[in-house]
Amino acid sequence: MLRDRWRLIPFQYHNAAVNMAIDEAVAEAISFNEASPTVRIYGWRPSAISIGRFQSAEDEVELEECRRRDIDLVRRRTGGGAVYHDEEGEITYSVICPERLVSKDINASYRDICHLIVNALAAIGIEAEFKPINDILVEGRKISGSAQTRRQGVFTMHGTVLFDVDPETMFSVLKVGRTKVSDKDLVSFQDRVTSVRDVSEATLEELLLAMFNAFVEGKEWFLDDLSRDEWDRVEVIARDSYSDDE
Amino acid sequence: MERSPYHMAERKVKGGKLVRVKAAVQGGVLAEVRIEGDFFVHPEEGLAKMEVALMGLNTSGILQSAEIALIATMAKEGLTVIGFAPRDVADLLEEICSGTDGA
Repeated sequence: MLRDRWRLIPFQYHNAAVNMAIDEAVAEAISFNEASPTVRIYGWRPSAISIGRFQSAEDEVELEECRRRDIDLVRRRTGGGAVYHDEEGEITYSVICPERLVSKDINASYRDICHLIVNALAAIGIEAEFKPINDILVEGRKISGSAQTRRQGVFTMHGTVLFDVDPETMFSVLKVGRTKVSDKDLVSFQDRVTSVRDVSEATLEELLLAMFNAFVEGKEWFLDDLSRDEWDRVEVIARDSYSDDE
Repeated sequence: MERSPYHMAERKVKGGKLVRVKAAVQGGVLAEVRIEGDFFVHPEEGLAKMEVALMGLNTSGILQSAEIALIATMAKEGLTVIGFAPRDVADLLEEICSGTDGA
């Protein structure tokens, strides 16, 4: 029988391959009914770029600049766009659970989980709004994006929250074409993003606490790490599926 | 230097995502098609099936045939696409085909 007590994995830093492999290993364990629905909040060390499943690395990323700056590159198994995960300034979350716990409607499930992030930001004094399909904006600027997949009856959604933007690095390693912003009114792509630090005095710890509180509100939950079996699978998945990305 | 056989067209779909189509045309038909961008396809493997459905289509009348091929594939495979419509890809293919000599 599927368990509905949620497992919260405390904040951890990992490299890009391991971060992606953890999501996959947890999803596998849930599909075998060997793990509880899971929320994890994590960072990337070293800084990394993740590109969407349907993107071309050459089109989206300044590959030489990434190598020069020792920035990892990984292809997600989810769609969506390229994201720069700054080691110091970006927080990522993953929600992994049986599909029956989320809306069957994909747009509705984006809305439902993004609203938890909106609530977390509200708790630290930031007024944010969900903008379909998968963005969260503060004063018209993006502070969070997300992507999801559904496999073997398991829902995985991961998303990012910008804590402190490093625009110089971000826009040195990401290629931002004119087409991408052609339906936006803003002149500069840089003007499209903001961060917690841009709009509030909240600390990283306050943001993390607010995110955990928002995710667990109204749920039964417990704190735990991955199981030994999950960590074993992480090692295999990271090596076989993510370590030689691009 | 060898020229890439791929021609490319892209658009940011209003209210949707960026779609970039790369296609190679040989003998008046689409020999290869890639659909790239920051959109979502569920299940993800379905995008390859959409690309396959476009290969072999004649470049004349591509707007209609590509849209029909994509709609049929999405229905047959039970695909949900978020961020673009079949017509967007058909438009981009027409743009590519109109810019090639059909060789």
